[in-house]
Amino acid sequence: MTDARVLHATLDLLDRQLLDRDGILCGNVDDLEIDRDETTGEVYVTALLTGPGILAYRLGARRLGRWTQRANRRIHDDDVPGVLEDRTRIPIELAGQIGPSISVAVGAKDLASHDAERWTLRHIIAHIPGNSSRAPQ
Amino acid sequence: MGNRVRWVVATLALSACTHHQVGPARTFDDYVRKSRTTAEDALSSVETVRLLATTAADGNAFGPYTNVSISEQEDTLADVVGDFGSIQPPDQHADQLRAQLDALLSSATDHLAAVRIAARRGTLAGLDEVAAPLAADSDALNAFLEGLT
Amino acid sequence: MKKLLGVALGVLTAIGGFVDMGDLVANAATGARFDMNLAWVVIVGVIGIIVYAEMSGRVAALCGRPVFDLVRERLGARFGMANMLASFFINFLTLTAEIAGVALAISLASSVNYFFIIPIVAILVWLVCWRMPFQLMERVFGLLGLCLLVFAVAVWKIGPDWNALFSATTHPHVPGSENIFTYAYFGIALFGAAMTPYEVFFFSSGAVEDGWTEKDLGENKINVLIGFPLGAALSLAIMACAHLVLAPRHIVVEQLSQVALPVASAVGRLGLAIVLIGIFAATFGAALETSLSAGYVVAQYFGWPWGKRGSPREATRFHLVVLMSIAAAALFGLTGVDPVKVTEYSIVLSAAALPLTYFPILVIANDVRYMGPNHTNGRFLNAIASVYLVILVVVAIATIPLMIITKGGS
Repeated sequence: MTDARVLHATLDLLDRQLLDRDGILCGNVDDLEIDRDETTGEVYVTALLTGPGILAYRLGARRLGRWTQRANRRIHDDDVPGVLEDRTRIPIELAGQIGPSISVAVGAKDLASHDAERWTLRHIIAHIPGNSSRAPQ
Repeated sequence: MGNRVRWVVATLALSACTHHQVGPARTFDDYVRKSRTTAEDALSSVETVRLLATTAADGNAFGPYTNVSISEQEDTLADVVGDFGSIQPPDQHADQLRAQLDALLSSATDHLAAVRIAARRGTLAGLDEVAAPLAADSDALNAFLEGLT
Repeated sequence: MKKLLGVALGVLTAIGGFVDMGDLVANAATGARFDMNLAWVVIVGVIGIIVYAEMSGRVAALCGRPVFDLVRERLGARFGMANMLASFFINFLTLTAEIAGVALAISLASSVNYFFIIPIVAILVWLVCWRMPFQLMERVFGLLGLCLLVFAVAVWKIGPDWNALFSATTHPHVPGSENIFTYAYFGIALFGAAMTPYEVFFFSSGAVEDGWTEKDLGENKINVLIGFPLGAALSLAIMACAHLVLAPRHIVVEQLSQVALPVASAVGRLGLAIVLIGIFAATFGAALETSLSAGYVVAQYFGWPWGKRGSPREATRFHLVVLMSIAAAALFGLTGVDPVKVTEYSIVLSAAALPLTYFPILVIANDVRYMGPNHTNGRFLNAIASVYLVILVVVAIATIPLMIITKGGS
């Protein structure tokens, strides 16, 4: 029973697309945090993990993971006070609808997975003319 | 497919895109095979330019296309000739073959250059006449190829 | 009436969009070397792309998710990553080939040096991706690509013995001067050209961006079912031209200019001008699609915002990947690589990677959780798709050994 549930969680949660509260794509579920109830022995998913380095760690590339995290700390700007304690960890309570993609009740800004997106905007895209207008369709 | 294998394949593919592959010829048979490929490639260039010349002379092709295409074939032929020249003939038998094919290649190279020069000057109308000597080159290459079998 | 016009436009775009640098080179090269003995591969290839393109359009319309997103979800992060890297690399080769194709077409029309044109082409491609009205451009290039129909006119003008041509097409054999390995290798190249995976990335991502729903499925089917076979007929016309004009003269296709030569000789100056416009349009359209596909595969794997509908500010990493891919492809082209060789390798390696793209589509098209109860594959479709999957796997396994045995088909 327990194994079956874990398997289910892996299939339905892991590697799914995350959408923030405004529907912005904000990374995939790179890993899961799991806890076990000592008395019943049941296993729970307690948080969705997403962001730089997480996937590398999960795939066993520890050095790449460390390097990515270090690089991301450099490009992260602290001007936004985060609502999350850990910007790579979304408590499962904040996860809404779970379907082909998973909506979470945080903003993309609050997640570490979005730092590089904003860094690219500020340092590259913003300097190219025509970056803010939609192409006429 | 492992990561390493993938990189090897990728590298091979990329390097194959950039280099002509010429290896040494260890035996006479090997040399014959390489001579055949060389003659076939040369024949292709000669025939392409002949067709280009008649097409242009008939008024069926315009200048830039004709010029660029002929230059491409000239470059291709030069590469083929260069590659063949760098193959070490393994024995005297091969020397003979080499001399024979060399003569054909240099004749084709000269005639091809003549067509290119005339095309650049814009005399497309008479281009088939300038290209006429290539017919003999083509025949000779064909005869050479037949002689190999 | 307006709807009919829309459908017709879609079909025409599909015809023009079917042929790209890979199809031009592969069909002309095989026609010149193997006559019509490999024509059947084009037919097999087009049925395959019809089956899988329809599926990927349906998946995109029903669950609003493009192919690459699903690849990671269904195949797992590790295999998905390997898949992404391989697809990105092959797509990069294809992009290089298409940009080179555009530059060659312009160079043949103007005699301006090809190396001067490459950077300009790269900038134009990027500009369209950055902020031009993409759908309009896609339509324009798709329709201009119909100029390639002049290949069919050329076949008709040459006036071949139609019976002989038909029987040569329907009775394939390995020509006496060739061995089974080169025959198979060129067959794989043709197959890879017909089924190029970027078409699927692009197709399904476009469907998601345009907000396709169940209602669009009918149009999707018509586009694919009519447009692609006509595109394949166009490919066969290119092959027939090479077979009729180049093969008897022992001409080996090593340059793009040789692909156009039969048209010039049979139809004349106007035909030549039209075919160069067609080549320009077809390769430019494909360059746009492969540029965006580079962004799609990476962004969708990592779950980044992607797409060309919103402003670049809304998908910054996606646009950065697109920009860098175009720049890198242009630089690679400028190193002096032989554009026709790059094209050949891109289609052959595409063939080797086909199961990576098509297998996940088949799995998802059968999954009720994604597709709903009424839109999973029918039994007949699944039978065909499974047969194709077997073909794809066999092709994938055979490709690299054949590449080594034949020394890249030489």
